[in-house]
Amino acid sequence: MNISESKQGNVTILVAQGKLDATSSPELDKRISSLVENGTRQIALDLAGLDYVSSAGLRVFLSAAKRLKQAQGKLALANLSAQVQQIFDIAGFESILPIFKTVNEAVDACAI
Amino acid sequence: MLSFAEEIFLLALDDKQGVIKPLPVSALDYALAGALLMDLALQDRIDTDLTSLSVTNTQPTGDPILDDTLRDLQQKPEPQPTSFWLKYFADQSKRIQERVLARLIQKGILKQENRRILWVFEVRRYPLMDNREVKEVKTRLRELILSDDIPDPREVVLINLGNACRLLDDLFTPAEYEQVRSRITALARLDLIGQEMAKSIREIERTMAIAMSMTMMA
Repeated sequence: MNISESKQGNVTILVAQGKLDATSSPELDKRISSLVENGTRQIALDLAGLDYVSSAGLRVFLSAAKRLKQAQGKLALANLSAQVQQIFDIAGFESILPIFKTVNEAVDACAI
Repeated sequence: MLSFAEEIFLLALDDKQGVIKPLPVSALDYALAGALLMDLALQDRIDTDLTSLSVTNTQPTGDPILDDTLRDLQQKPEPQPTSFWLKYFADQSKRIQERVLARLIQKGILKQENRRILWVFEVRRYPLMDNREVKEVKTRLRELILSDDIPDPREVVLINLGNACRLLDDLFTPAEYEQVRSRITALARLDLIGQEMAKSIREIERTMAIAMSMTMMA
């Protein structure tokens, strides 16, 4: 999995590409933890290039959402592929995570 | 920290009587099977998706029950659906229950008592010696469900197991339970193994209900 990072105002945008499974999820988990520990409070995740998410991957989003909420921060997701959207729908992740069609919408939601 | 199998066993125990509360058919069997798989998932030994369960790390966890489960999961060369493994371990529930009970007794949380009813029938009971863990779990789950907090993966598993065995209503007044029912459903959905476990229990209940209604009509 590839993760790249950019900034738009106070919002950090992480672009995740590839597969998010038991092998790759610790990498994204550590990346988000490290950002939060270093003071980042607004994170938008661009998942356009993510074509697979397993249970282990779902747990990374859950932990990240909890971590940011506890730190009075915000996490928003954008650009879900059809496969990833399907697993999010089945697991009902829209009930705990704001999900947007575009990165700009996710950034705006985080910036509020 | 207790394993999920130990936690669900304690939640299912009527602490005054020292026996398992009345539960839906096969619910405890599947909940224990689900508990083993969810512990292995949270310890990064297995991973699942919508089609299958695969072993991702064969390194033992140090927990003999989980390590036997992990060894069994490696018997099939190809990944199998999660439902296959839930049934496989649910079919071994009696043996798993005995091992979980033995562990809880060994940890000083339960004690075993043998009593005789009518001086003939021997009944085995498991009164709680130390209820701190059970109280703490019940309080944590109640507070989480009543709030709008995001659960951590471990809390999601406990909600899932408790909900599948219909044990969460004990944590609330009937009026409160009506109010939190949809939140419990939403939180329980967040784990894919838990979803499969709940589906298996519902299917067994449905089959039993159909069989009973056919018997009554005959």
